[in-house]
Amino acid sequence: MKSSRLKINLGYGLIGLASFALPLGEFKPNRVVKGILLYPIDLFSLYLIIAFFIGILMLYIFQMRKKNPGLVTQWLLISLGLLPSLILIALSAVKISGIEFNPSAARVSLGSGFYVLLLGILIIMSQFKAFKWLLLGMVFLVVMSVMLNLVPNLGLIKEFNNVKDSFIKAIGTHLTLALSSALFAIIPGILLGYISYTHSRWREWVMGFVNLFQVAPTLSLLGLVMIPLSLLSKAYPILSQWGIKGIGFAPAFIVLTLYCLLPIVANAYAGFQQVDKAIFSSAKGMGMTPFQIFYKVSFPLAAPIILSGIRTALTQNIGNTILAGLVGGGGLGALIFLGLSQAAPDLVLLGTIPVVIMALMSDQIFEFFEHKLNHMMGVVHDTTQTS
Amino acid sequence: MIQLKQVSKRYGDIVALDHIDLTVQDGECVVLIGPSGCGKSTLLRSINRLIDTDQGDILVNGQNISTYKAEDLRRQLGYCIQGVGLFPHLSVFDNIAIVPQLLKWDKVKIKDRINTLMDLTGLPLSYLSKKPHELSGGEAQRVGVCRALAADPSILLMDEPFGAVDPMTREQIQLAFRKIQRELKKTVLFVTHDMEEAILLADRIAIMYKGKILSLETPGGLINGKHDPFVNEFIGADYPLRLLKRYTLADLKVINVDSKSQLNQVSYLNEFSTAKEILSEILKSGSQEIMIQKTDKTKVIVSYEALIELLQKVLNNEIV
Repeated sequence: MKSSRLKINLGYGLIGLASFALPLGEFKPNRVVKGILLYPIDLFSLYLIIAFFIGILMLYIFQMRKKNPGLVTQWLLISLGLLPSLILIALSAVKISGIEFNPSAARVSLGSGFYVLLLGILIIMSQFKAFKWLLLGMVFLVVMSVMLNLVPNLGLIKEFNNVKDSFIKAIGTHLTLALSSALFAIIPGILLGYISYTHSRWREWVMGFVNLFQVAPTLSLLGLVMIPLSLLSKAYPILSQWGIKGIGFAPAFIVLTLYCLLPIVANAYAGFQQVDKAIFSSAKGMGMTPFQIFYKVSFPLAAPIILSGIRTALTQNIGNTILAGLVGGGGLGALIFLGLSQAAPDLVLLGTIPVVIMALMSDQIFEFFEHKLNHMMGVVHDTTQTS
Repeated sequence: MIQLKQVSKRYGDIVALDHIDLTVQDGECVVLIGPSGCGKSTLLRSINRLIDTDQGDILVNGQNISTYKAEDLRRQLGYCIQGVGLFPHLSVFDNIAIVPQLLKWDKVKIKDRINTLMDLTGLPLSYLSKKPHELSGGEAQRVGVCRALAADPSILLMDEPFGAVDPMTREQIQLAFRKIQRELKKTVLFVTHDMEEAILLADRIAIMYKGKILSLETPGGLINGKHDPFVNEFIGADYPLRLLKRYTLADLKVINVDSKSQLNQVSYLNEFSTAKEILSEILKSGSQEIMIQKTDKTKVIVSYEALIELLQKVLNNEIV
């Protein structure tokens, strides 16, 4: 309970900090100029902020005092959940007097205060059982305010409207690239893991090999792959007809696949390793062939850990796929690097948000299947097990 | 029948097996016993070719094992190891069915066989759908025995199969195994480091030390102290006393008495009680004899002399 109270205090502290001291957003007359910082005081009247803060504080004190907080907590959580979308709407509606600007080019970017506030809210919410639902509700409200065109002046929305078609295409490319390259690494990864398990002499070589790709900076790896690929496609023009050339999909795909190898190989090795030696030797002693031992015993028993390796690989790969943008492989990375080169943080954000969402979703989906698989394999986390 | 002829195996400088000669007759249970690292497990595992030997011949049912494909050989030999090695992701049924499935038996035959085995080892049929982690240690060992017997092999290789269970359960399962062995007449080579287990189960006990079999005797025959000093030290001075565990009331000379007699009756002894338990009770009672009521309510008197007589008979090889 102590740590939970500490976290709630931290959450309130962050909310307080954001309410008074940090800019919630930044008003920009156009895309690239430096804007005017918008503090809460610029958006709401001072009385409103003080009233909000006192209200929150009161709810907080009530909630801490009462043993079964019930109703007070509900009000608290609901008001906190409404806050992000309300702030977004307020930011979008902000009017600055005294400067000339073109309304269609003007925009409001999110500032540090918004993120700190959001963090505070999330920390408080995470202390309650209904966290997932609260989070979903909050996201839903934000999505709804976007859909209902309540926040038209947000930089994010403006950028989205600019790049709408290529944005949706970029998500598709991103997913295809991330999924296919991870998928392609699965079978070689498992086999390499199995080889390093059965042939301990090869283990160092295999692990060294897959570690190499992980240690080498991704960019230099991309460069290294681009050279032979462009030479190859020059020597055999038919390759470039298939899409294999120095830039584009091919080098990104190859580098991402190599990147996925380490978590898969390492987990596969660990998975096979943790299979009780007695099980292995009784399988052998009963007359199973090496292949039968692999597919009837070792593989099913290692499967949960292998799956968690694939989970790590894919989740990490969704992030890494951003780098494909650098070699013309497309995806959300292209948008992000465009945003960086144009010093347009909203575009960077626009590219980053779907990456984060996809990574979280893949993690959740895998967690679900891992749980199922563990159950199926009769894995119990029970140290008193005698068999 | 298992025959080993001049079998040797080295690991670097360590001699694991040193020119071993051993024959296990059909239907006989030979128990290999010795301190850790004496080569007993190596010997067992060389028979199903989990370990390749350097020298010598091993014959299984008269045929040299090197003429078999290793997998085919192993499928013919029942194998049971310490900690059982049940596959945690398979049900009890699928665990037992492994070797019959490898031998491509048809489904009906496998099912019948498994029902018979569950019956034999005293496990309820409802356990067939359980996963190994739902079983107690003793139940898992029984399933392990079922699995070794699944394809009805004539030979069983047991590598400390009951080593990991608690003493109470171990004794129960040892007795159950002895009963099964006497019923089925399997040829068994059994590795253990527990002398009581050897005394209980063995037709002959092979004591191993540093890769050699120092003594190969019936449990009774081991009493005659004309062997290697190591063997004497290993079996210990209290060996005759421990040997009494092998025999029951049936092996003792008793006097039948009138069922109304109330003399020194010990309530929890019956005809399944071991001679060791009977001796303990006589010592405890302070008299020369005690009365025991059998499960059919008839009563007998066992005397101290009867126990001495039993040990004499064992010494003279009149009883094995």
